[in-house]
Amino acid sequence: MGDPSMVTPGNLAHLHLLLNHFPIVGMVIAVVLYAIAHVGRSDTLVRNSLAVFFVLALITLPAFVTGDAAQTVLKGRTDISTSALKAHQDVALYAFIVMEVTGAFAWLGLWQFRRISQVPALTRNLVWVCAIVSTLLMAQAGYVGGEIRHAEILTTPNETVTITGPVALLTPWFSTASTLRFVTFTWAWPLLESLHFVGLCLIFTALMTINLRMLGMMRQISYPALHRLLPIGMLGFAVNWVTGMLFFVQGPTPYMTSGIFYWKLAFMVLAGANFLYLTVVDETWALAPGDDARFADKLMATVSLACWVGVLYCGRMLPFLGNTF
Amino acid sequence: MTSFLTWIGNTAFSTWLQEDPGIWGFPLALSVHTLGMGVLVGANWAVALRVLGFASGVPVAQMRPLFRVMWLGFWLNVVSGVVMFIAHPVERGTSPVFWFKMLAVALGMVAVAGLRRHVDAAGDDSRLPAQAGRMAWASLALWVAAVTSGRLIAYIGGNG
Repeated sequence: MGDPSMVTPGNLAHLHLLLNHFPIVGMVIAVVLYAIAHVGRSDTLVRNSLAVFFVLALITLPAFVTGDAAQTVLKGRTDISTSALKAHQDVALYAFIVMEVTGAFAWLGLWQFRRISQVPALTRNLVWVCAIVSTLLMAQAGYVGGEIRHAEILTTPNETVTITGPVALLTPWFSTASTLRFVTFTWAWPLLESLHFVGLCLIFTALMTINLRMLGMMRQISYPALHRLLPIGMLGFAVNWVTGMLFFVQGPTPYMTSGIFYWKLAFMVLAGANFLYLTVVDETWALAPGDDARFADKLMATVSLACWVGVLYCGRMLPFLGNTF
Repeated sequence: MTSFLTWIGNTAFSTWLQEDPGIWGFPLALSVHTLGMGVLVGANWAVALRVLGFASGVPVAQMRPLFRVMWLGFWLNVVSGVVMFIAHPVERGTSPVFWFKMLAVALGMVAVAGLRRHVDAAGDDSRLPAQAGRMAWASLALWVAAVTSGRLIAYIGGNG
């Protein structure tokens, strides 16, 4: 954790190049699965596709933030296309945002299925729209991303890469370079910090309570009754995702050079996977009043609580063990 | 009063908290304080939201063990909070934001005790008087106030 050589931009760039394939290729596969599920009217396959969307949304988080490290490695080099780099950065931001929204709606569908034994048409259609848009944006992000270092695919050696298509309408008023860097220390940063902590409390409201039940406390409460708290946890997750990303984009370098930040990300992805587990798994859902959870679920609950403590500790330690404010 | 605060600031423990570059002093207290916040407020909001009608399938009386969790969070934060106060006694002792937070926390714990009475009195049918709802709203609002003012201490007058 303390070894700075572990997080040199060089090997984080590697991580970016590895992870960025998952949302691009994964979304194509997941959308095809989702289509097959609808044509074949298979509820099981619909739910499986929704779970894949959610997992892809989780993986997209480290894929997106490591992009800044990849950029640092390339900075100053003459054999790259800086115009492609800038275009990639903006399209990747849009793709990232829509991907996360897709994951949130997919999660909502899975949660609703538990409550009413079907995924409502509205949720399905919202997932359709978001999934298709994020697949297209991911493809475009990958396309211009490839042009950064692959001069052979450019039409002319010094071609200026610009964003084309409908996305070009967005860039003038919403881009990584300017629009999002509005947070100054005067009021916005402290306010967002406060919100970030309130979001943490919301996450604890749902996930600490549910995981304590798994571990044997409040055993007379059935799991389906507690399942209703999960959206509160999701709300906290969403608040902290938005506020956290706003902190990050103000200046990614302090985060990128902090080893502890990557631990926080790892704990977050794990905790997110546990969130999916609590939403969909049949064995937990079947817990009636008085039932003892399986050993595997208790282990899962312990890991989940440990992950949230890890997220919190690594976040709080960013200014001390890392280089952020 | 000020001389007392100054005296605290000059103790060896305070000096160590202020100057130690490691993570086992002030940073540890800060982390424990954040964890205690999540534990106390999280458990409190779970009960408050249930009282307000969320997760209505949960029998209110069965949430009683969460009050032990709240007190665990509270004491974690008393200890870690005192440590952080000792690190900056003059700044905190004279900061209006800090005293506003103390007030919000005190009232928040009054709301915890109030909710506790209603949860204890709830029968198997989970029926609650209207006053329980007001106590639940007070819990939500007071902890938002405490968390926000706590966070603002770092930005308004003083470090940390």
